[in-house]
Amino acid sequence: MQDLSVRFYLESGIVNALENLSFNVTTGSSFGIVGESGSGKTVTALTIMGLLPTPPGRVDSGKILFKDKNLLDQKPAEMRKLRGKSIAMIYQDPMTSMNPVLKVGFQVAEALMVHEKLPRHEADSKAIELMTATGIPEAEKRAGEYPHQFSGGMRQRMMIAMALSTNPDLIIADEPTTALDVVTQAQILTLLKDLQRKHSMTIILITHDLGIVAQLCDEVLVMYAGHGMEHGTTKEILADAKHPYTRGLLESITRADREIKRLSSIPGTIPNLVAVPAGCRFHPRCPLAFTKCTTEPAPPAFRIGNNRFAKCWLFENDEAA
Amino acid sequence: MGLGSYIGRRLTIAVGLIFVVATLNFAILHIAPGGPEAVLLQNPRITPQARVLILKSFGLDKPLHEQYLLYLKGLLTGNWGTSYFYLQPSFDVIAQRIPATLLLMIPTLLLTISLGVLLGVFSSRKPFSLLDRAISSFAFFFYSMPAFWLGFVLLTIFALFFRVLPAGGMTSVTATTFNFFDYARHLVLPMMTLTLINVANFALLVRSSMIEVLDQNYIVTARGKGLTEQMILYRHALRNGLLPTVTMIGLFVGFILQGAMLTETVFSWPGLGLLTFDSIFRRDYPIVLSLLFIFSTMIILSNLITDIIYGFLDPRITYD
Amino acid sequence: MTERSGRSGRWLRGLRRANRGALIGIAFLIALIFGAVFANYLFPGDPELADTSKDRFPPSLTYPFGTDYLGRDQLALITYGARVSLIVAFVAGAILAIVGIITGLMAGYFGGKIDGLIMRTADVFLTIPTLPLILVVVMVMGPSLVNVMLIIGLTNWPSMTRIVRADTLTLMKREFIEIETVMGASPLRIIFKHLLPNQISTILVYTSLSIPVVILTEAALEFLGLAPMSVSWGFMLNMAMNYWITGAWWLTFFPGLAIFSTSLSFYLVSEGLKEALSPKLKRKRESWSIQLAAKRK
Repeated sequence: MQDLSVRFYLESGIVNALENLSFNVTTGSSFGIVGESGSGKTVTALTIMGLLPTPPGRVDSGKILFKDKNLLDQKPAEMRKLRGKSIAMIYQDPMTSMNPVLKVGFQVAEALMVHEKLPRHEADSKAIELMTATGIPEAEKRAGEYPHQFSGGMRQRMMIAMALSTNPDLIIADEPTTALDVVTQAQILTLLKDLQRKHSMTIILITHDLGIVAQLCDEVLVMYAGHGMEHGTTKEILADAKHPYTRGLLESITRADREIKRLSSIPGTIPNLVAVPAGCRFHPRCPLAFTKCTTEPAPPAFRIGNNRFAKCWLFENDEAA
Repeated sequence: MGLGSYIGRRLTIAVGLIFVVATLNFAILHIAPGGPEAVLLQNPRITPQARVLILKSFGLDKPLHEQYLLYLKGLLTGNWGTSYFYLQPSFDVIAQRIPATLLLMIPTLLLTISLGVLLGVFSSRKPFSLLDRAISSFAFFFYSMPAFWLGFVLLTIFALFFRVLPAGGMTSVTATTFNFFDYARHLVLPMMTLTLINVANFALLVRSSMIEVLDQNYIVTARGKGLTEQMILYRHALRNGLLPTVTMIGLFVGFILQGAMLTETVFSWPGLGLLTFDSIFRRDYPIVLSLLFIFSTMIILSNLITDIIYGFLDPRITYD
Repeated sequence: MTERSGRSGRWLRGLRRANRGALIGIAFLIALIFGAVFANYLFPGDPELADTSKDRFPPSLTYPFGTDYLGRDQLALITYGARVSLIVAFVAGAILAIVGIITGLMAGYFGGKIDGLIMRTADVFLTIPTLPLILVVVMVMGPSLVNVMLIIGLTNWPSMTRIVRADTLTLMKREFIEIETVMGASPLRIIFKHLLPNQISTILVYTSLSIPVVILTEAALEFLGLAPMSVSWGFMLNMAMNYWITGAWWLTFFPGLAIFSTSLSFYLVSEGLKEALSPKLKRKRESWSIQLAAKRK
């Protein structure tokens, strides 16, 4: 993704959802996007998939390169062919993400029938295979049942099966475990991890939970208010986060290995994306803010290491060669 | 056994409602000033013999609760009293006229449903577009319109100014056997009247149901799978959106039936509606009371049937 | 108390924002009321006086609505007829509103069994077809004006009840109700000083929305021959039916047009009120897109 800017044009104002977002995802790795609600994570996912509601939303600049093609240049028909086949998405709420009046077996098999033109019975048996692979017991018997007869965890497994069905090059998982209870969460994460290793899939995992990132992701991008604030490998960031926002996030997590004196959180709330403060978006809440943060426009991303960057004036002079 | 208990519940409610209507019927008869005797015997045309007959058939000489039970028994066995005017059992008189009403209602219902669904689905795809706003305007336009007036306006235009269509009745006076084309010609105007009044509102209901569906997450999932818009609409959206429509049909049967009452009068269509009008004029109480019962029962039953059909169609009820 | 001033502020702003439809509706209704009240001066003499020499004149300059089968001026008849329709509309509407408000408030405030009872009854009324029921009642009880108004009002209250109950339930969750309850205010006080005033705009909107049904039902009753008075629009239609076949289309057209216009005007007014008093509805288009955007985030 290069320099992507997405805005929503509403009657009440223009919402700057994403600004100059850039990152690279290495094939076969799992890439995490972390941020609070409203930081633009989901918008990013939707833009990649081409699912942005375009009447209010508009991509104002940037490129998304996927297998040497700019996704933003593709015609809708082309995007449609890619969606579900080369790029698949897993959604946040398994309860509402499945169609309640269609059988689950059919829903899992659907992508296969559409993209690979498999006949019904072939697609169905493949679907059963997939469902078993994602840990759904008695898949063959239960494929004829309906979503409401399953638990949330099961449904999410089906969503994963759906996404995997066409062996996509890229899977985007948008907060796949947020709607689930802790136990199921762990199961799903383990499942994802296994699958990723087995098939060496490229995953973009979107979450607000750094813990998940720690478990699953090789690289992390930290987003705030539509900007990519910091990027690096998970190890690097967890060990030594540079950007004040990332540090704040890390500090607000209670960890078992540190003595907790006080629960800390980042004061304030995310800015209204219509009336953004000038300068760095984070400066009203940043404990390290100084004059430059308020006066100059948002800082560019400074490279501070190999495949590591941070959008903060503090690192202006630390740019690695 | 989700479906079983669902149907059971609906059935009980329906039966209960019919019971309530019957009781109301009975109550009204007895609350009337002068009591049921005054009501039933107002017609001076009744001969003394008929008088005795009627009194007996209504069992008015017995204590109240016995009357009530007799009345209920009578309802169930088809003994609905005797019409003054026709001097035949009310049940027979009414049964004779039901086919005509059905001949009007069923085509109207079919037309209203198909048009309504089409319009509703189309306008849901582009909310607030021209088509959409036009439909909303038509909806309240016709909601405020008296059905009997519209009937006359249409009659005036098509039967008076442009003598294209017949001015009333179900069949031509000269026809001896049932000719379909003739019936169709007579059907056009009353059907148009009833349809116009109801279609816009029905379309609006379909539309809001579809809009709600299109907003759901599983539609996003379907898009994310790379399905074409057509596939999404037909396979995913419609099945969900049209489900509540089934129950709405039951509701509209009620509206159309009540509308038929007025429309039949305007067009001299020989069905239950016209019978209502005539019987009121003739103060033929047994018929009117029976008509109240049959209308209510028809509506309650159609609601029951649509509810049951809905139960079969919605997997959340069938399998649970 | 801030709630109260907010409401009166919205009234004034609302009036300025009133849409065209509502203005047309209001204009028509004012003209109608004027005609009804001053009919005696506009059309002196008894409008029902027959003059068979003028049997069924088509509309002309002297008789803009033509004359009926008894030679009477239809315009005069219609103007006098407005009285019945307006009286029934307002009184039945008031009955409907009062019953609906009281039941709605009780159901919402007390909840539990009372709520269940009220709503169950409401459901029954909503399911049974009202027109046949009204017919029978009026026929049996005698077609007097009072009966008609009562019965129409008493069969249509459930829709109002639903609305009021829903609003009451939402309001009950707000803090100032809790405060009052804790402070030991009596239920009556809570209901009348807090729950009710905040619903006035909704109540107004829905009452005016129910009036078209009232008008149409009343017209249907008269049309079917259960007329309380002879000079009423529905009854004019009833008689006109017999003469229509002779080509006198104006006998049915104008009375029906009057019913339609009045009904439509009330509807337009209710829509205008709805828009004026709840700015949220105006933003429907926008909130739709905002919702989409918010969901996607």
